[in-house]
Amino acid sequence: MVNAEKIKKDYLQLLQLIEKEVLIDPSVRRYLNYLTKYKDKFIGQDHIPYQLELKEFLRGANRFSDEFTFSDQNTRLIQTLLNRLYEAMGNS
Amino acid sequence: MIRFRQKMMVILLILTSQLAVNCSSDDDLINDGIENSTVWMDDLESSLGKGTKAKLMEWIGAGLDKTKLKEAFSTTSDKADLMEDLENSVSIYHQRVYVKDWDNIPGIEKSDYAPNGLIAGESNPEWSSPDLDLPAVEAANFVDATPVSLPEGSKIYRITGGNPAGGYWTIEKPGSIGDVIGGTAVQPAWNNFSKFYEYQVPKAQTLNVWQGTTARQPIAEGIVNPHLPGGEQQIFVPLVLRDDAFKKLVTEIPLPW
Repeated sequence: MVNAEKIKKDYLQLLQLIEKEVLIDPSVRRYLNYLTKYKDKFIGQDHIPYQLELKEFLRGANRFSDEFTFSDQNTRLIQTLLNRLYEAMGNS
Repeated sequence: MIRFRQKMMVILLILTSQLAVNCSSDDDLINDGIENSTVWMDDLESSLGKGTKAKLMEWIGAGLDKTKLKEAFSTTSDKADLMEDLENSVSIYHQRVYVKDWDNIPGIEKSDYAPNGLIAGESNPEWSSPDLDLPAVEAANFVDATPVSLPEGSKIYRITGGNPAGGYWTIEKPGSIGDVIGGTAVQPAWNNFSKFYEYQVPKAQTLNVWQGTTARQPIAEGIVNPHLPGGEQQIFVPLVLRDDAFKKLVTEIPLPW
């Protein structure tokens, strides 16, 4: 069952972390811009119509994240959030 | 009188053939003119601002196909947006995605994309650590995945313009940029393919990785055909193993092409 609030919370936390990373390394802005493309759909209340689209997007976003060096304190949580969001879309 | 007529006929014939030659060469000139015309660039310079034409010429000089570029601008609904995308592209392969120059992006497959990755994460009980699992979002990048302990001396390779010590590597050196883009399904938007890295497993150590066939990827968001077929063997190094000791042993080597 979709938990829209949980998805929204995780997505916004992910954005916050990446915003912090941009302050450390401005080249990460490219990744932030990529992630925000689907902001409206992630923070919306109904993910079901976009479930497959968002799942595919998250798969790409995760693979794209491999090109960036994030700070030690945030890397693990960024990867965890990406995986959790991906799984949430798969289970919704 | 007959001689006069014959002379006139010969003169007429010479004039006609000369006219035909002239017309033909005028046509060629017109065609060349159309081919080399930069009127469309001048128009873009007017609408998008000073320096636009110089940038377009620079990209064409670097290998971007002029006809495809012109076509892309003539068909887009937002020329400024396309220009911005081209300016922010990380490589010529990325630009070629925007102008749909598929023939000049190596390794791609001209058919519809359909996901073929694993649908769930993988775990290896023998490693007895969830930190070494292959998470679902990574498993989706594999058609099949096997846990492998690479012995000492094993070398792994990675092409990237970004993080030298990321998770995705190959056991074999890629032979061409098409092996990377198509074979390991790396979207041109993600990677500028500018650097080549190697890691060697140190003496008396092993490296636990997930190895398998690369799954398909779209060539870019929203594009179904063409796509990146995958098919090459790739490995994923779990995050927990990419520590400082690992990073120190990643060395840049010359590009293999």
